[in-house]
Amino acid sequence: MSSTLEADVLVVGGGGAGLRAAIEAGDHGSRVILISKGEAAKCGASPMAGADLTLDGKSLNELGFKGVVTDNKEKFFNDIITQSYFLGNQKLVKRYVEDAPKVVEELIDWGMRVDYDEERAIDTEGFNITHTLLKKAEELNVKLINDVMFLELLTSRGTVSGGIGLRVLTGEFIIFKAKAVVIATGGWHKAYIYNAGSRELAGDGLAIAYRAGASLGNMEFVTFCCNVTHWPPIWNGSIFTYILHSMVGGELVNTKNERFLDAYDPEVVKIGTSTEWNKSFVSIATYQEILNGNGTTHSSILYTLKGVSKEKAFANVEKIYPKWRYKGTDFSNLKDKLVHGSGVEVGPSAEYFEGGIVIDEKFSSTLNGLFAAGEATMSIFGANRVVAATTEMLVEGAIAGGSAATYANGKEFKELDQNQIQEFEKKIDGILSRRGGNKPSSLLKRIQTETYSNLGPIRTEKGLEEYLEFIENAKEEYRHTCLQDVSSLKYNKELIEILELENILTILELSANAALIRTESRGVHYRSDIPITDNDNWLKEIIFKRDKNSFKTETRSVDFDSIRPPEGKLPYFDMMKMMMKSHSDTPGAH
Amino acid sequence: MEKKLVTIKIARNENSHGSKTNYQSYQIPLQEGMSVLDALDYIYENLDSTISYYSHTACKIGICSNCTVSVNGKVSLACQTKVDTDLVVEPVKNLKVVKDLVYLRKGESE
Repeated sequence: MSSTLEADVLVVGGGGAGLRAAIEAGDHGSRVILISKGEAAKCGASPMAGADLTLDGKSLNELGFKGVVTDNKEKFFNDIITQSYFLGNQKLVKRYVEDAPKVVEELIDWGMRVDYDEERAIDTEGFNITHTLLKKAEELNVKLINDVMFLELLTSRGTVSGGIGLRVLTGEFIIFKAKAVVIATGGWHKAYIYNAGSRELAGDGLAIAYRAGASLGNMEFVTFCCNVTHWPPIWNGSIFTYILHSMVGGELVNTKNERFLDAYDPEVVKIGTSTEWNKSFVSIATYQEILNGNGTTHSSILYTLKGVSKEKAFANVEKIYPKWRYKGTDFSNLKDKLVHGSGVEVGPSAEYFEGGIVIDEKFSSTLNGLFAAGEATMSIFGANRVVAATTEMLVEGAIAGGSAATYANGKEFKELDQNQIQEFEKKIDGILSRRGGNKPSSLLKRIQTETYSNLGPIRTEKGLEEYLEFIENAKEEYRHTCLQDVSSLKYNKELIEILELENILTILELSANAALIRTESRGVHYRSDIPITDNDNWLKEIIFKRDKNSFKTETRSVDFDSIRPPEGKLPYFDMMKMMMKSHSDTPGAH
Repeated sequence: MEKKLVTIKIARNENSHGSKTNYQSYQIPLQEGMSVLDALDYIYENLDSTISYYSHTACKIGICSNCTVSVNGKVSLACQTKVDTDLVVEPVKNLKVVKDLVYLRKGESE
């Protein structure tokens, strides 16, 4: 172990939630270190966001934007809760709705550019959000350390005392002494062969928190963004085709050139393709086509512009995306493909993870001294998130950062437990001394493929049981996975991957178990063997806690403080239609 | 039909203390719409897992710029540069190389 660093508050994660938490803690007078797996403000899911920031139309109007004056916080709240299939955390969604105008206004004051506005959102770019936050964090003397992968939390007598990280460029380990730690590491996109996330998102923070004793919940819920490009490889994972379909429409057809959405209720199709409902509805419908054998070899269907007045549509696209450039990608060839070719291969890609660290109203975890914010938390949006995760990361980052600073204030540093550090060293030595096993990349590829097939937009009991067997075997194989080059730990890609694989496997086992336990379909969790939403038995959350080498499962009832769900059991798509129709009169995508 | 093969020549520098750069060449099957980052991934996964290129984080949509390398002498984003012919991939000039294609950012020290 080469160096030890001290901070009142250690923030893990260089995306929006981590930066916002660091700002709040810094503003409270804490000495803050923020470690980022890549370059802060340039990694995580935040810079990938389109990005809209959601808030109620009336508040938006009061901030000087268009907004919808007939909208209000109550309507916004009701819509979020119904679209969460009533698993949303009503107390915390209230807080989201309450705090959204404040955190958005703040960001604009700090210099964020706004490109255009909608009924319930303003639009900018993910990068503008993170860079505005980065500048503010630097003003507050937050110490930023890039390219540090967080590996383990340290605790003494059940309370967080710090953690261990790896400088991935140099291969050195760092010990952190910290009074409080905020986890803001995002989701576990890397577990899916098709995902719309940045590469480093391997659920590190969740698995580390869980190993240290914190509870995780809502692990069965994974949002897939529909219509994400799957092929060619250079465009794989880009949401530009999703945006394009939302903007100008077009046709989604299977390999038999059939409009497969025609098989569904026209009202569901209408709302399910023109609003944020598309993520769950179109992803499930698309994946069903792929299961029916009507998809391409890249788990895709085809997106074409048939039936769209191209001149008008292209003018609209080019106004916002000149020369068909989306973010840093040149999509000018896509235009030709859409006009002359048979379409572009698109499909569902893992985009947002509702599962995460169980938190209370202060965004404190079940482990003393550990806080969490953003996508790494057990989502306040229950079974289905339809409002912006960018607003979520700001609201939650601010609360978690403030709570961590208040908690750390006046506390002494805890003595580090040397046994834990020795255990960690033993673990690393163990990894480095393995010989003759498989390469981590080979195991990762198989995990990604299996996960997309069995823990994707459509699940079944049989598929999940076989998948859990696969995970058991993968865990065994993992114990023998080894590095080809142990002569240097300098940017040792295989070491990074081996360390990530442990986290990925931990999380996938819990996620698959939760999907198996939840014997119904709700929100983004669709079981084709039980296509029923069961409000009699499943208005509950599934929570996991580590128990030696296994885990304990409990279910927790949801509080219905403000609005109550309908009773009984309903076919999934009927429930979806009912939730769609209960939306307030506020128009727009949210 | 046999896939066309292309040769990717990569600068290997195991020793950061100014030793002369070695180059290693890899033959890979060319895939339609493949980026330099995809090519490096192919080599890492199938031919030589000891190569280092900045990829533990990557946005893959051309905004984070962390995959910047020199491709045939031109500073390029690995994730947005198409592979259609033989290539030489090197770290960006005048920056301190950590290993192979990985270098320290401006103003950063080891």
